[in-house]
Amino acid sequence: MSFQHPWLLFLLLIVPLYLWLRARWHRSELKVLRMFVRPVLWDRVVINPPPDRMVSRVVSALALTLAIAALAGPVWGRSAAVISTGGKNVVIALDVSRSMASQDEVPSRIGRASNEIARLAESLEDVRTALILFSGTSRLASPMTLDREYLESRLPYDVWSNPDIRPGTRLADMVELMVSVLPDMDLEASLGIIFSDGGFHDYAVESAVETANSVGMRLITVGVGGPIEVPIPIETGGVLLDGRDTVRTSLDESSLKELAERTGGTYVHLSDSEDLAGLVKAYLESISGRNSELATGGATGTRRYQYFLAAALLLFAAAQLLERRGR
Amino acid sequence: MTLQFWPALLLLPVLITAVAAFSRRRKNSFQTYSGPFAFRGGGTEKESRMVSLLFWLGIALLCIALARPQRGFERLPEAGEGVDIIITLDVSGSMTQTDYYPSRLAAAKKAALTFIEGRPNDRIGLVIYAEQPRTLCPPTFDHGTLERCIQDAELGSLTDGTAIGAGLAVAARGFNYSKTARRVVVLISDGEDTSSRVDPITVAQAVNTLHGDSLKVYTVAIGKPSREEGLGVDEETLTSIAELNGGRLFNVESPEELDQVYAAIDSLEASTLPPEGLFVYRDAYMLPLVLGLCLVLVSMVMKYRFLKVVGE
Repeated sequence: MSFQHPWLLFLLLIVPLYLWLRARWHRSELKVLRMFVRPVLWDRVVINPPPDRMVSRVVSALALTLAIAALAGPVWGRSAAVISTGGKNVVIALDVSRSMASQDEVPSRIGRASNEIARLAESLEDVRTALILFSGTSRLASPMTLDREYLESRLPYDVWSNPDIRPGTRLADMVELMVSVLPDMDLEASLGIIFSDGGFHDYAVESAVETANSVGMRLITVGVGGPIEVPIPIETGGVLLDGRDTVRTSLDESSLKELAERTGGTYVHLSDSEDLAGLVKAYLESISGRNSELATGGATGTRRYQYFLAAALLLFAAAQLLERRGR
Repeated sequence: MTLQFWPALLLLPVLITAVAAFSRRRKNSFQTYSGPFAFRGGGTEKESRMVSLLFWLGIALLCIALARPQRGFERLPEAGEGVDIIITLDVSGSMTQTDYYPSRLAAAKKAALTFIEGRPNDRIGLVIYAEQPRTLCPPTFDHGTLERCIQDAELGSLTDGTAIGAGLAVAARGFNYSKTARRVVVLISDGEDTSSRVDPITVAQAVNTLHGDSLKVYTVAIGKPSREEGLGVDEETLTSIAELNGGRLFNVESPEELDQVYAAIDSLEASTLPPEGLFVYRDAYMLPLVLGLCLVLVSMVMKYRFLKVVGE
């Protein structure tokens, strides 16, 4: 037998304290009685029922001991049932804005990010994964599923294959969609991963952080692209122009870093993400560990407090009875 | 919050009755005498009642703790739990016929939506097929997204035709990452296979070889058999596909029967998981136990300390 909260056994000190107080109160009573009896007769006085109420005193002390033992959480044996602490869920958001066509990654930012997502999905066995594509709007490309093959089939390798997605990079809508995709359950370990080159047009890091934190969703952000400004290729060939000027883009890490840090996640650059799967697994394990603590209260065996408490209850009632009967 | 052992609450009236009964007996069997002990447990009657009230309130809380209050934490079924189902829906041009109101396809979608509603704890996916098959939704618990996929299911970008074998093959492929021992394909068709490169029976045999007893195929034939009019459903093939994979053919001649078919599949492949969801329960007895113990202790101390013996 072990105790779940052994430090609570210190409360057993209450028992001798109680016994000492009862003895003290008893002495006080006798002192009062002596005032009514002549000293020479004191030895012949028989008090029935006895004023020390020794039986009820012992029964009360025993009841207290058992109740405190119950409080400390006695545990022994193991339950046959396996306690599940919920599944693991990852929602991946991939930026499909025009700037992701830039070729400072090979073959392009979006191509490299998609390859990385496919590699990540393959290594996340038994983890439900969902995919969101976002730019000016967000779209659920794959619901939460174990079917990694389907998820991989939904990955875009260029930014032009998503005509229903508007230009721009809106963060707030995307994080809201991420939250809505994740199961709303206490015991599910959930994590969000954003692959983007930053430069969010809605400047909504604050509200995105708020939304993610409201459900306890941690975000790992993966920066795609480099710090040097590069032109953006277009579908018909050539590069994107603004009038006569070439539109250039570079990775904006600051908003991605802020997003990750303020949601309890991590920022990594795509080129440093060899062990992204390891990082994701570590986060999921940590959340699962917390869920396990939440579900079991830290108990590893079968709780047996009821036996102690039931005995304590009966003894408390018995002590009450005995007291009333002067025992 | 639930009580795992609620009968423990009955202990409270039992204890109160027992103590009260014995106390009354004491009045009859003992004689009090004058002296300071007559005042033991003294103080005013109001104070005495308060001590008694505190004691019994404490005992009541301890009884609640004994009843084992628990808080439930919800979770989704794990990879190996529940049933994985893929609805494989024919969206060929013939499914737009209005012999089923409003159309065969609409009736099939409506019945599928009702079926999904009744199975909240199962991963369900959707494959559509005409000349080619397409996975619209992989097996998922996200039934909201699945329902949207079913509502959107139509011929759309697929070429008209009926590739039953290809539809079955893609549906079976959807279980590649399935960990559960129970997988079900509900294959709905209203015609003959006209587009599969591989014979549907051969596909069914391959599916059986790959998945064995863990996968069952139920086929649903909408419309009249082909032998009657030459353009109807190929019951013979659908029966063979089902029988090869431990299922059976359901013949549907009216939209109402579609609902009955789904109900029959529902009972044949009953979910082992409770419809109200899966919960992990954590004991929440500490609060009533601590409060109860405190109240009992306070009442024990008050009885002797604050309701002092007269003359002390």
